[in-house]
Amino acid sequence: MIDRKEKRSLKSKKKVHQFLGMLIFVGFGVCKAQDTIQQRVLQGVTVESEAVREEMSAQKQTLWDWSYLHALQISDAVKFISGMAVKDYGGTGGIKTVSVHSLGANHTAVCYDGVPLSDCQSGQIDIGKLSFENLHSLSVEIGTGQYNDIFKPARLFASANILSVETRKPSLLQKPYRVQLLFKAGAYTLLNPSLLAEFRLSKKITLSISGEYLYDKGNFPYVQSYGGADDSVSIERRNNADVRLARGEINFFYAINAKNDWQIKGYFFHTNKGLPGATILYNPISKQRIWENNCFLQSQYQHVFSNQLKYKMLIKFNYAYLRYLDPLFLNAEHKLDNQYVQKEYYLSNMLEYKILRSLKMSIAQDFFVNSMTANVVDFAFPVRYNILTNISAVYRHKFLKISASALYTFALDTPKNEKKTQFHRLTPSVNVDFKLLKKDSLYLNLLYDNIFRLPTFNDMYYQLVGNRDLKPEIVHQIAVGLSFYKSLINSKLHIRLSANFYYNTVRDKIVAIPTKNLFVWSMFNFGKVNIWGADVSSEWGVFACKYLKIKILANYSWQVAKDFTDILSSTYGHQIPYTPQHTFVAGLGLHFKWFTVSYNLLAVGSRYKLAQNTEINRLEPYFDHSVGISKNLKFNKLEILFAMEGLNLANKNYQIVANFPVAGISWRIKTGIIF
Amino acid sequence: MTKKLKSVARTTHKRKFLGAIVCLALCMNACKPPQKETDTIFGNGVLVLCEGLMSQNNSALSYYNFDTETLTYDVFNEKNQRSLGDNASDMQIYGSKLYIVVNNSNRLEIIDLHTGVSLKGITFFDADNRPQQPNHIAFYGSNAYVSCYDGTICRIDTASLTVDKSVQAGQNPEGLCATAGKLYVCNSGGFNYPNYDSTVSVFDLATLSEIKKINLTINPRFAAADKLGNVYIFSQGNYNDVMPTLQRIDTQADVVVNSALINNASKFCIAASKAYIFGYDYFSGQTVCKSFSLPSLTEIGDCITDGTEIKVPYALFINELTEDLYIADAIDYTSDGKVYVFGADGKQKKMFSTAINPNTILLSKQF
Repeated sequence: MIDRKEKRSLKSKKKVHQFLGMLIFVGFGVCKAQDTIQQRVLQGVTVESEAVREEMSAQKQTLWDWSYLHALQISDAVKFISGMAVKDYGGTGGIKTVSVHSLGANHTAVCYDGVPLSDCQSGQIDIGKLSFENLHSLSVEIGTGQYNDIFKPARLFASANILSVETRKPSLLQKPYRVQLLFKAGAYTLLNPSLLAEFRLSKKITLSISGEYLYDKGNFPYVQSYGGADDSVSIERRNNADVRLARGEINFFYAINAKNDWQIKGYFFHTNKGLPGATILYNPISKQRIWENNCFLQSQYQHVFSNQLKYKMLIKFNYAYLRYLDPLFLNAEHKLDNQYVQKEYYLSNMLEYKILRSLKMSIAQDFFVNSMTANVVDFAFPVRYNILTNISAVYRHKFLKISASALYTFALDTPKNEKKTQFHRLTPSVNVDFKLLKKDSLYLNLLYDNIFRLPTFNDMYYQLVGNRDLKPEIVHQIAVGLSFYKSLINSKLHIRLSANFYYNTVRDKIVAIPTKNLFVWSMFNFGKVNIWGADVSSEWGVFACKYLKIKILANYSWQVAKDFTDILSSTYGHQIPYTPQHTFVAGLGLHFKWFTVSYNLLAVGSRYKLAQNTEINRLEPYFDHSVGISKNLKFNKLEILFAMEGLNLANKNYQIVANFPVAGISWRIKTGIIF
Repeated sequence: MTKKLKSVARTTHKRKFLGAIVCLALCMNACKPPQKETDTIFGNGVLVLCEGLMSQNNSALSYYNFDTETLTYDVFNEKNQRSLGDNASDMQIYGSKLYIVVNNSNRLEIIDLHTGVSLKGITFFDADNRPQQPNHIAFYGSNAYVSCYDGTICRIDTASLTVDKSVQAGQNPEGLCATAGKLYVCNSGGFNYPNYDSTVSVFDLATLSEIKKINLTINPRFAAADKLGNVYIFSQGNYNDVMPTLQRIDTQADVVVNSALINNASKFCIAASKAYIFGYDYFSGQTVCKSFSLPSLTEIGDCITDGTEIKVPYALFINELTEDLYIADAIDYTSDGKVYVFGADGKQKKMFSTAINPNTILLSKQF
C-alpha cells in the first residue's frame, strides 16, 4: 500500500521532468524552424518596460506578470515573490497570512489600493480573501516603504513590511466600456464565476464594478500518516472544509480637473465556511463554522496647489463581523457561539512639498479609531485611538538617493470599566540607493528601519489569555541589497536580478505562554529572535523568436531565525517554528504565438512545527509542481480565454502548517470572455 | 493497515449488556491497581504519559529504564507503528494491561503489558456521533470507569473490553476514584467558565446510579481515595478570588469533613498517610511542592529540600515502597519535559527527559 503510493509519486515526479524536457525541446524546435529576427512583443507580455519604469531597489519586489503562475487566490501568487512566507492552513478556506523575513504576519501590513486593511483583533490579514480577478500588481516593500512615493498615509510607514495589492484602474481609450466575465472550476467542486466591468461615463468619470462568487466543497482525500517506524497510513477525506464566499467592489474615479482628483471605493465581502481544524488521529469529527461580513467605504481626494505643493485626503470606514460557532462545545448550552464586531474610522491628511529640484518632503497625519465588541463573557470592549504623524524627505543627486522618515505614534486604549493604556514612540528609518554604473541599472541599496507593532486586541483583552500590561514588540531591520536590470541583444533578452542580505532583530516579542495549566495561556513580552538571511531573485525574459517568448522566474531564499530568549532553555539557538532555511520557487512561461504553456515549482525545505528543533518536530520538505496551458483567442472586439491547470503533480498532501494537509493532484480550468 | 485502523475505529459503542459482576470483596483505591507481579516487556523503570501539544497528534508514552538508564521516547509508537493521538490525559495499569485515555483523539487504548501492543482502542462518540471527550479513568472490581467531558461516565468490562453501561454525572466530569463500593466523580464544569460546577457525584457501583451530589469548592478536578475510607478532592477554584482547595470527604456520611487552601496548587497525589500537592503560578513565578499529613490536612513542609528548581510541575508520583517522589516538569509546555526523582529526604536522586508535557507517571513493574 505504502510502496504503491511512493511509486506513484515517483512516477508523477518523473512525468513532470519528462514534460518539462519536452516543453523546452519543443520551444527550441519552434525557434530553429522560424529563425526570423523580429522585435515583436507577443500579446499580453509587456512586462519589463512597465516594470523598469519603477525605480530599482532590492527592497521592493513587484510581481507584474502572473500569466504563467497558477493562482486562484492572491496568496498563491504571493508565494512567488522573493522573501515571502505564506502560512497556509490548506484548502481554499484555510487562513493564509504573509510573513516577510521571518518577522511574522503581524509585521506585514496589507495595503489595498493605497489604504491598509485592518484587523485589530488578531493583527493579521487573511490574504486568501482577496480576489485575483481585478488585480493589477502585487508588490512587497521591506522597511517602512519610502522608495519612490513618500506621498502616502502615515500608517504605511508604521509596519515592518507592506504587501501592496493594486487593483485594475480602467484605461478605456478606444471604447467606453470593458467587460470581463470569467468562470473557474476545479476538483472537489470548486466553482468561481466572476465579473469585472469598466465604464467611461463621461470624459471625467469612470466606474468599475467587480464581483465574484466562490463555492468549494474542499473534501479532498489525503493520506493520513500515523507516525511510527513503518509509518502506518490511511486514506481519509477532509471534511467540513466547504467555503462559500461572495465579494463585490465598486470603484468610482472622478478626474474633476487638472488639479483635483477624486476616487471612491466600496467593498463588500461575505463568507460562510467550515473550519476543518487540524486532522486529529482517530477523531475525524469537525463541525466548527465561521461567518464573516466585511465592508468598507473609502474616499481619496487629491488637490494640486502648485508644482511644489500637493495635498491628499483619505477617509475610510470599515466594518467587520465575525461569528464563530462550535456546536460540539461541551458547556451547558452545548455550543460556543461567539460574535465579534470591529469598526474602524480612519482619516488621513497628506502634504508633499518639493523644496528643491532634488529635495522633496512630505508630512502625513493619520487619525483612526478601532473598536471591538463581542458577546463573550467579561469582554473588555476595547477602543483604541491612534494618532500617527510621519515626516519624510527624499534627496536625489545624480547617482544617489537618500530617503529618511520619522514616525511618531500615539495610541490610547480605553477598554470599558478598566484602566486606560497609552503607547507612544518615535521610530526612524533610513534608505540609501546608489546607482553603481553609469549606463546600466545596477543599484546598491542600504536600509535601516526601526519599527514596532502594538499588541492586538486579542493579545491584550482576550478572556483569561489577554495581558493588559503588554508592551509593543520591537523590530530592527538592516538590509543591503543589489539590484540589476539589463536588456541585451537588441532587447531580446531581459534580465532582472536582485540579491538582498538582511539582519533583523525582534525584541519584546509577544508570545503566548501557558500559565496556570495548559488550557490557560497568557500573552507576554518574552521572546528575543535574531534573523539573518539572503534572498536572491531573478526574472528572465527571452524573445526567442517571433513565435515564442520565454519568461522565467527563479527565487531562492535562505534564512536563519533563531530564538535567543533564554540561554537555559532547550530551545535557545533553535530555528523558530515554521521557518524553512531554504526556499526555492520557480515559474516558467512559454508564450507561443498560439498558446502559453507554464510550469511552476515551490520547493520548501524542512522546518519545525514547534520551538524545539527535534526530529519529532520536523516537518518534511515539500515540492509542489504544477503545469498549465492557456490560450487567448481574439475576434475583432471579443477576446476568449481558456486555461487549464494541473496542480500538485507530485500528489503529496504536504503540510505547510502541521496537521493541515493540502490537496493532492488536482485540476482547475478557467474560461472567460472579454469585450 | 488501513483496514485494520478503520475497523478499530468502527467499534465505537456497541454495548453488550452483560450482567455486571460486582466484586464487593475487593476493596481497593483508584490509584492502586492489583498488586501482582506480571511478566511484562518493561523492566525496572517508569512509564510517563506525555500529552504533547493540542492539535499536534504528538502524545507519547515515554519509558525510562533505571537499570540501563535509557529512555524510550515513545514506546507506544515503537510497538504499534502509530501515534497515541492527540492530548493523552490519563493512564492506569490494571491487571496485566495499561489503559491510556487520549482525550482529543476521543479514544481509550488498552495495551497488553506483555507485548506493548494495543489490544483494543475504544472510541467514545454519543448517539449523534459527537465526540464525548474521555479524560480520566478509574477501576473497581472487574470494571473501568471513564469520565467524559460531555457529562458521561462510561463503564468498561475489563474482560470483554467493551463499554457496557454509561450514566450521566454533572457538568464536565474530570478526575474520579472508586472506594468502598462507590464512585466519586469531580464535576468541574470547566467548559462553562466562569460558571464552574462545584459538585462531586457519588455513584453506587452495584447499580451505577447516582446516590448523592456533594457540594464543595468550585471547579473540582481531581480525586483520590486512601485506605481509611476517605476520598480527597482537589478543587481548582476560579484562577481569581477562589483559591485552590484540597478537601476530605468521609465516605461513610459522604460529607466534606475538613479542607486546606493551597495557593497556586494545580494537582495532587496521595500515598500512605501523606498528600503531595504541587503547582505553579506564572505571574508570581512561584512553584508549590508541599506535603500534607492525612487525614488532618496539616502541612508537613516542602517536598524538595536541595533547591532543585522545577519550572512547571506537571505530574507527581510517589513510590510507596521507597518513598521516592517523582515530579515531572513541563518546562515551557512546548518542548520536551523532564522527570526528577527525589528521595524521602527531598534531595534529587535522578533526572531524565521525556516527551512533551508529561502528565502521568507510573512504575512500569507493579510489585
